[in-house]
Amino acid sequence: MHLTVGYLATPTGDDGIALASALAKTFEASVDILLVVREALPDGHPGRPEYQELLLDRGNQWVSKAVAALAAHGVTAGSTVTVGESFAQSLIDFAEEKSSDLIVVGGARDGFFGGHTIGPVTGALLHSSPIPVALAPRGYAEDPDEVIEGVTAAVPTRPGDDNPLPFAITLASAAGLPIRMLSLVSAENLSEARSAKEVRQFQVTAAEENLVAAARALPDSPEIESLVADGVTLESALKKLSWDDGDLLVVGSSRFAAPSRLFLGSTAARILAGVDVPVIVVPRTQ
Amino acid sequence: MAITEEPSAPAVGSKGLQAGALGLVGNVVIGLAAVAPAYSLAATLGYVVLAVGDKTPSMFLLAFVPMLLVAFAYKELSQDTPDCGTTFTWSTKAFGPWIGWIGGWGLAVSAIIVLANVAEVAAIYLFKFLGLDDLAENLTAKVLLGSFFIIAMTLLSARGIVVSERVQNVLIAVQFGVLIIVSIIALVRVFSGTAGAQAIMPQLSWLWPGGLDASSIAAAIILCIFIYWGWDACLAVGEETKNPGKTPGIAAVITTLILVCTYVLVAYAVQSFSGFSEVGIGLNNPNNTDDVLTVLGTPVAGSIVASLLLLTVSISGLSSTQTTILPTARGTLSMAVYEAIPKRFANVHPRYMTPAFGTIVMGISALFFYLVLSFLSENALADSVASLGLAVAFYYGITAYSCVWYFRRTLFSSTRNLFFRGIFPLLGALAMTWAFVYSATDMIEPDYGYTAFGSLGGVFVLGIGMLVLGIPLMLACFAFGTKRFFRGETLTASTEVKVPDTF
Repeated sequence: MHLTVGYLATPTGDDGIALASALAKTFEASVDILLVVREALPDGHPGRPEYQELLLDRGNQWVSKAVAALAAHGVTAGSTVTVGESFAQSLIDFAEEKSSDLIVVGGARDGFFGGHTIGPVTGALLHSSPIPVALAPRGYAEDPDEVIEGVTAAVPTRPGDDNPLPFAITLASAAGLPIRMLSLVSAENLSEARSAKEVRQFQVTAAEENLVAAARALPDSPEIESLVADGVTLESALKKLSWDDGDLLVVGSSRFAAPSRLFLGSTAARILAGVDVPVIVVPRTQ
Repeated sequence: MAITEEPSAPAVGSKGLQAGALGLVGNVVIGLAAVAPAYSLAATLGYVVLAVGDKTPSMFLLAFVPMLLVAFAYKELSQDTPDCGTTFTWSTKAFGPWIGWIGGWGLAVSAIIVLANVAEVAAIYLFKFLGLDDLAENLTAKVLLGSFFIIAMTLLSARGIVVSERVQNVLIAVQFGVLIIVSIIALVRVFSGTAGAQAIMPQLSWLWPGGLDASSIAAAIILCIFIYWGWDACLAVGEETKNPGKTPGIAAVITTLILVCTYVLVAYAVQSFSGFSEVGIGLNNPNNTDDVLTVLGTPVAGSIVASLLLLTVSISGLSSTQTTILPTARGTLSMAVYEAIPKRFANVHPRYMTPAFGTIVMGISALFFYLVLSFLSENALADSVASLGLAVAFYYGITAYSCVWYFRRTLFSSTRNLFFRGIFPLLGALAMTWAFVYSATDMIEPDYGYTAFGSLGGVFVLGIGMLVLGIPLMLACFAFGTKRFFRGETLTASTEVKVPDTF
């Protein structure tokens, strides 16, 4: 397994490094850190190429701190500093070149709400990446998990949304982790049914069906726990969940995603805002 | 933990530096964008007319010569010693730390003043574009919008948001399109006799600076330095072009022709269409001095073109701030790396990858300068252009002298060196010195410009004051800093400056 970490010398970047450390240890993955330096465009004055070199130089200093931080956790990482106009695009290109299995970044810290705040770079990744993206919640670096201890897959409740379960099962089996399935039920779907109870019953049935599917996909099935959280709104349903240290949530892409591309749906975006564990968003299957 | 690879050294990605990124068109556009012609003309034309009357076109021709001579100095120095500190680095290498520091300060001062000037121009022209002429005359409204522009442009630059190349191309095309179309319509109407009673026939004698006294010429040159300011860069950025041997030279010639021809054309059009009467759209009407271009817009080509002209000037000014702030922020960064100013200026923002601290300090200084100027001066625009001319002449002069002195040992090794490293820069430096000293002496008189502080002219106090302010600041940097720069430990004539290492 190979991880590409998108790094900036900010607290957000450190969150990403902390998550990369936990993932690398759990899945015995190799790690490459990429720092993208802003391209100083020609502005008609002398000194610009020298400034660009100076930026690269700074970038190398920053990234070596990240490498040192990973080394302190016993993870060896390669590092690359590159010049690019778009961080997200450079990150995706680099990860594809390295045949990475996962892109790891920190969310943005300067937002006001929620555990995962999506900055512009993360936003661009979450709407175009062909590779799964792991997001560290903000502040993750201050209280990181040593290793990942369990994988939770958020199973879609709406037909058409992509099911992240196959990816979650592969991931969990790679490290022999327990897996559980999560269905979020809220009264917001009421229009489709006569009563909340009926909806909930419908969801529980769906979740059970998924469990059967999961069991079939994995003959020597690990223990798959099925979990239904319900509330009046999605947010209140999320609040009822309790997360343990070392939990990792996997969510799928929206039905609007192009095949094999990632596209964060509205529900997934709200899930991201309501949880404070690392989240992996998976591109849509073909 | 199964990863046992050896830690590898950080690799620089394949993309790396984009050498040879610019073609001929890109090079020309960058040269023109750095000059911001529409805004420069709007800010100076009226005052040049005020100084030299109908000889304005001749001044546009004459002022170009010292600019060209100084540009050779830039070219030679930036090829020998490429560094983001430019004037600071070169003059330190030639004349030692103290003069180097002041040279760097001159560069920073001009960026501070031009931000204030852009804010004023953009505010006035935006109000006029929106049809809010009352607000354009209202000091409070003008200062509020101007301050907003300073803050906004500073934050955009600190955040690393720059005008993209494509937008830059469009802006330049629109600027020249509008200026040339309005001028040609004006001239056609003058020749066909439909321009009105105030119009006068263009004359060839406008191109010859005869019959002017030295004071007027010095004043006009100081103003005209501003309208060509930034042009020199076109020669200095040679290494970025696709064919470094040929392209920069051709680009410089094309840029020069476009600029000089357009300026002379606009000057001819404005003078012949408006005439020199003291009423109506006449150029000697004091109400028109600060915006000759607009006055011309509606009578020449109707209100739509006039509005376009206003908007062009406003946007041209705002986009030009970036070509000023970015190089200056790089300059302060370089100064800080060599420990000439506090280390904080050497910080690069880890997320936006810009020298954010230096940029913001510059923005705050510009805001402060703008507020002081606006509340002290009846005509902040005029006074800031004149004081900007002083600052630019100052650091151009230092750069040109540095060139001659730095290359003093190799001057006579070839004829080419003698001219391009010796005679041309020296003549440019002497011209800058003459314009600087002569204008400064004139500016002492309280009736120069629009403000006076007791027996001293306001422009003198602001222009020279800002430069002199550098001395106490330099001493403070010496007293409280590491002193290594001033002892000549970080940067000397023999220092190999490639990438300033972070100490």
